[in-house]
Formats: sequence, structure tokens, C-alpha cells
Amino acid sequence: MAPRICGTSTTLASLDASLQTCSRLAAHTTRSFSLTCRNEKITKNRYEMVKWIKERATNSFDKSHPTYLGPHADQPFPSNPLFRSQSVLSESMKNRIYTQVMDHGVAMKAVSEEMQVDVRRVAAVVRLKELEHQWKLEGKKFATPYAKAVMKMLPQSRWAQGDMNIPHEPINDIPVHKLSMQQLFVPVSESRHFTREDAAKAFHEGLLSADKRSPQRELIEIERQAAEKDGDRAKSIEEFRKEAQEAEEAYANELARKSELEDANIKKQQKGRFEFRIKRYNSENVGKYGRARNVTGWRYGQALQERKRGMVKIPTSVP
Amino acid sequence: MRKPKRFYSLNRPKVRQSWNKHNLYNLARMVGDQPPMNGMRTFFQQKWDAKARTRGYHGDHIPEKKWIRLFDRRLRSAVDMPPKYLALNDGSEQAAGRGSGLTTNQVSAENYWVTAEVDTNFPDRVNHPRMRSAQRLSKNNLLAQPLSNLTPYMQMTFAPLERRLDTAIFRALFASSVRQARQFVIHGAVKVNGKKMVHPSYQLNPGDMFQVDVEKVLYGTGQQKIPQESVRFKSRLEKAEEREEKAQAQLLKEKSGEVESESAEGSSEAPEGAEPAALSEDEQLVLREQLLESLLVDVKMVLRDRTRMKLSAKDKSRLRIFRKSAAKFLSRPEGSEIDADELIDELQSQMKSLNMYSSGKERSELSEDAEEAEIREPSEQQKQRINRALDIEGLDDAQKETAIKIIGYEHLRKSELRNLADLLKQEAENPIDESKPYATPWRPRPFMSAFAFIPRYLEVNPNICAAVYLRHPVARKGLGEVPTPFPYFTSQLAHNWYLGRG
Repeated sequence: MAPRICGTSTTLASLDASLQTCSRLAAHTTRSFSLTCRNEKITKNRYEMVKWIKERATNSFDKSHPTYLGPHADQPFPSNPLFRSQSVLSESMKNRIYTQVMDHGVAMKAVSEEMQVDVRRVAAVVRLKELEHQWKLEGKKFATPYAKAVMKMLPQSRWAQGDMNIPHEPINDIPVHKLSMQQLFVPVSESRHFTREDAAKAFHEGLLSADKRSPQRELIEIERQAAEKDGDRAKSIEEFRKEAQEAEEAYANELARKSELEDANIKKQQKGRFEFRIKRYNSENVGKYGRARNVTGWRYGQALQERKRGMVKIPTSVP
Repeated sequence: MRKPKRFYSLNRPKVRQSWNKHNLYNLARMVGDQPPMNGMRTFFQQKWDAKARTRGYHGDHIPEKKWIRLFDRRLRSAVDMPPKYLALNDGSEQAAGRGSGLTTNQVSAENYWVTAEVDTNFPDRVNHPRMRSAQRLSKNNLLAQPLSNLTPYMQMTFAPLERRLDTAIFRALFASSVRQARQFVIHGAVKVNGKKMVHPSYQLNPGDMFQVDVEKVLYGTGQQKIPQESVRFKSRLEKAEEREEKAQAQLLKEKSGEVESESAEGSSEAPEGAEPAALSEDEQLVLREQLLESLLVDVKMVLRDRTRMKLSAKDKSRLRIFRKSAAKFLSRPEGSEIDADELIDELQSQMKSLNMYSSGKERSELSEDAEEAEIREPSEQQKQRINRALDIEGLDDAQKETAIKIIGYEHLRKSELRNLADLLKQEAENPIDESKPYATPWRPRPFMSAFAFIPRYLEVNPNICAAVYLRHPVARKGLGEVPTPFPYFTSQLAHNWYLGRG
């Protein structure tokens, strides 16, 4: 293929020279193997982009504090004011959660109530911190420069003991149930005391009310006691913490007992490098059609489906 | 799906899940905004357009067929019901008196909310002129105002995609685009619950923990490698080496000069055939002392210059060169890593043996003493020593003067050595390493902060590059948790398209 030549009006005599200079210039400035010369023109759009980046973007996206496109300070997408960059837990908050749960043995529900962080988040923080400590013991290298940079760019929630802290997130979120998504017209008499309980029943027989679906049911009871005449909030919170701790311990014991029981059912045999683990198994227990999910092994008359074309192999869960 | 041609187009732009500068520019000029409804287009055309634009952002690497299978018309939402509200009201207050025309009772769960309010007032400061005009002129804006009081269900249209492993990695800020996140997964750099997962389409379950290789994250989010940079550092190192050689040569010259002068005086005690290149043990010691002194000049400059609160780039490079040449001074094999504590310990022992340890009291102990020490006139020997060290550094007279003003004539103190150890440790966190595929020392990609947000359904630990998928994203009052650059109406049209009702 003939190389493309820069410039439209070239005489035949100058063509050769221009070809040489062009290819030489291009070859040295861009790639050594390319014969095409660089397009020196810049489109209008591109020019405007470069201009905007130079004038507006290069200096305005500071890396030491959160900066978003706006227009609101916490809005990353200019066209969508309904999505905001919400704050993340600060490192000190994470550390406190971890020490409270792991070192002082406080129940996760109690920590959640104290610091106004969702219980699931508390559990996740503890899990991640535990992994971090494991890494430290193993001597693995952390992504410290990355973590420092990222934490500077994100808005952070702070928490100080005894302060009037802004809660990190609502701790008593109730997911809207599918059954309660419909519009319903229920005529009731004016004199009737129509509560949340009744509303749930109106949607469906089995639908529980918001009070029963709350993830922090004990807190509702505390507030009720505090609102009573001789209610002492601090005292009932103290009780709640104790109860939560007991419940958590009981649950942990139950888990330990179960795993022990499972261990007891497995016969272990050490043979050199290997340990054989033998479990009792009822081969008759294969479901109605012999294709029950958890069944292993080949059975006469039942074709194995798993190697068939088009069968999805992507796991749905990782234990 | 392969990357389409003109992925970041400026003529027919689409918003993408990426931190690219083209994308930033497109976002800033409101490319994601809904075109004004002027009655020229049919409903079908509007839906088609909305679908095409939203799919350009949400899972453009996923075939349409697969996304349609994922689409769910059930949109999740959650309501914050504070325990106090649930305790004090049983729900009957919502309906009480309605039949008799009473609407005075305004109590609802909202009255008990304590979380930070979302600011909906339009501020003056905007990044792009297009943004301001779009906000002022758009008819959508008139419709969108009351939306801040609703639960934006339509923004949850693409929520099922947020469950995908590759998208979650991108949202946790571990990759600079979804396509890169997908590549990380395929290349085996991602673990789910501690097990390697190579399927980017794995649907995370609430409670799943995923980890990405630290090196991959640093590569994905770090600035790209610039070839000149490593060359610059190398040349600086070479200069430092040259200085050492110069010092050695200088000492040899002086020594031979002394020998000559001695012989000129006529004393024939010195052995005649002594080679000038060979140094006696004492002289070796002197050379070592001189070398160490010139090494420590940089350190003193960094430690004693109190005018700056933070370390400048030059200081950092000084420290790095010190670290490299100190390793050489302590005759470590080339390319071997030396721990900051270890380095300081060895330096200390060397300084003790060379009698270079500061004999004066520490500055922190008694300020008066320190003042006295500063006033005290330095000995001639000290002056000569420092001057020679600065000569080796290659400074001219004016530079020397300012340098001496900063570093003084004294030896390093114990507390200063401790500070040095801390500084070196800080530096070791983010070292220069040419073997890495990203620019070192690591720094974030340009414009990363414009894209840096972590949605609430993830809990991220950036130290170990691991995150937990807490729950599915939900819509709340005034907030949709799915990060989407599109306004409510575009999402609504796209949702309508996928409902498939003609």
C-alpha cells in the first residue's frame, strides 16, 4: 500500500522529498514502523475538550478532598440529582467498631445502636478488619498509598463518644415488601382503630407488620419503656446490651455445637499426605426423580446433565 | 462483548462506566441529560433513545439478550422507620379523622428521621456552562423538582447489574472501568469468599466478600507509567555514585600531596615505593567517614529544614537516593530491599564506630542547652568536614552557605535518627520500583476524585482491597442507590422499554 502524503497540492518533483520528510518525521515522532503521517488537524470537538480539561478540570479536581462534577457538592453525576455520594466510615470508626466487638465482646446489635451503623455493616467491618489483621500476621503488603488517596477523595462519617453525632445511616430500615407494593382500597368504619397490624393483614394474610419486620425490634421496646411515666432510657439500654450479648453468645455456642456434631459424624483417616474423610450417606435419598440438587454419583437410567451444552456453570453462591 | 469503535466519541457521545477523561468531559457537558421533549418524537422513539443511552452506560459489555434475562420489574426500596416512631405511634394516626375531613395530623416516620438531609437547592457554582443552561431551560427540571420528595423507583431499573461481580469491583473503586474489572476477574485476580472466581457475571449474594489483588488495583487505579521518569531517577542515582567516586579520588589526591610535601621536607622515613592508590586502615576509615558525612548531608537537609511542614517532592527524592546509596554504603547486594529499622540500626553502629555520634544533649531534653549548643562556635575540624562533604555534593559557594545555615555543623542526634527512620518507613510504603506496570511512586489516576464514590450497599476496606456486598441496592425517599448518570425520565423510558408493553 502506498503511503499517504501530507499536503494536497504537491508537484511531482516535490512529492518524493515530501514523502521522505513526512515519513521520516512521522517515523521518529510516533512509531518507528508507521508510514502514515500524524493528522495535524484537530477537530472542533476535540479542541473544546482539550480546552475544557486544561482550563476547568486539571486544577479543579483536587485529590485531597472530595470534588465532584456537581452542581451540588456531593453530586457525582450532573444530570442525576437523585444519586449522591454518601459518606463512608472513617478509619477511626472502623477501628472502634472492631475493638468493641472483638476485644470488649460487645454485641454487634449494641454497637450498631450506639454508633448508628447498620448491623450488617458492623459485621462486614469486623470481617474485613479481621482479614486485615491476618494479612499483617502473614506479612502481606497493604495497598497503603491507594487507601490513603481514596479515603481523602471520599466524604467520611465521624463519630466521637458522648458527642451529638450525625448518624451514619438509618439502622432500622424496613424493606418494602412485594405484597405491599399494590394500591389497595379498604373501606373501614370511621370509628375503627386501624393500625399497622391491620394494614399488613389487609395486604395479605401472612404479611407481618413493620414492627415485626424491624431488624432492631428490641429498640422499639426500649423507646416504649422510655416514653412511659417512670421510664429510664439509660437503664433499659443497659439491659438491652446485656441481653443482646447473651443472645449472641448463645448463637455462637449453638453454631459451635452444630459444627462439632458435624465433625463427629465424619470419620477421619490419616494416610501419609492425605486425610480421608468418610461420611455416612444414604444412596436411596435422591429425591422424587433421582435428580435432587445435592445428590452425587451416577444412577442407572439417569443421564448426567452437567456436561451438556448450554448448561450454565456459573456458581450461584460461594460458601 | 467486544469494545465498540469510537467508545469515547465526542460527536455522538455516550456516558460510559469509566474514569476516562473523555467520559469526564461528556458528563460535564450533560451528555446524560434527557433531550427536551418538544413533541417531535413518538413515544417509541423516546423509549428507544433512552434505552440506547442507558445501555451505553449500564453493562455495555453485556449482550442485550443476557441483560433482558436479568431485568426485573420488581424494584426494591426501603423505608427508614425509626424505633421511636414505631414505639410512640401504632399507625392509626395516619388515618385518624380522615373521614371527618381532618388532615391536621401530620405525624409520620419522617418527623423522627435524624440522618443528614439531602440538599436539593440549586447552587450557583457549576463546572460547565452547559450545566447551568440545561438546569435553567429544561422542561424536565420543572417536572423533576417534586421528584425529590418521592422514592425514585425508576432509578433502580439497572439494579440487577449492580449485583454482578465486575460491576461491584468497579463500584468499590478497585478498577478504572467495568471492562478493566472484568479483565481482572477473568485473569484470576479476584476472590469471592476466599475462593478464586473467574466468572465476571457471578451474581453476588448479600454478605459475599470479594478481594482483588493489590497489585492489580494499584495498576488499575494508578497513573500510567511514564518512561522518562525512571530515567530521571536513574540519572540522579548515577550522579550520587559519581560524587562518591569523586570523594575517593579527592582523598587520594590529598594523600599523595601530603606524601610529596613530606618527602620535600626531606624526611626519608616514609617508605619510597608506596603506591598512591592503596590506602592504609586509618585512611580507609577517614574515607568512610567522609562518605558517610556526604551521605548524611541530604538527610540533614530534609530533617532540619523547618520552613516546610510537609515533605516536598525534592525532599522525597533526596530520601530515596539516600536510601539507595546508604544500602550501597553498607555494602548490601544491589537490588536487595533493606528495612528502615535495620538501615537505621546499622547506620547508628557505623556512626558509633566512626565516632560521628553527637555527644551533645538532645534538643528535646533541654531547650536552653540546645540554644547554647547553637551559639557555641564550631571547631575548625568540623567546618572542614562539612565543607568537604558539601564539595562532594557539588554545591557552589552560595549554595554551600545556605546549606550550612540549614544543616549546621553538628552530627545527627538520636531523635533525628528516629525521625529519619519514620520518614524512611513512610517512604517505603510508596517506593520507586521500575518493575511495576504503573508509575511509581504510586499516585491516583488523573480526575479520579470526580468518580470516587462508594455506594452504601458496599462496605470497602481499601487497605487490603477487599469489600463486602452488604445488601441489594434500594431506593429511598429522594435517593436512588444505583449510581446512574441519567435523570429520572430517561430511566423511566428505559424501564418502560424493558417492560415490553409495546
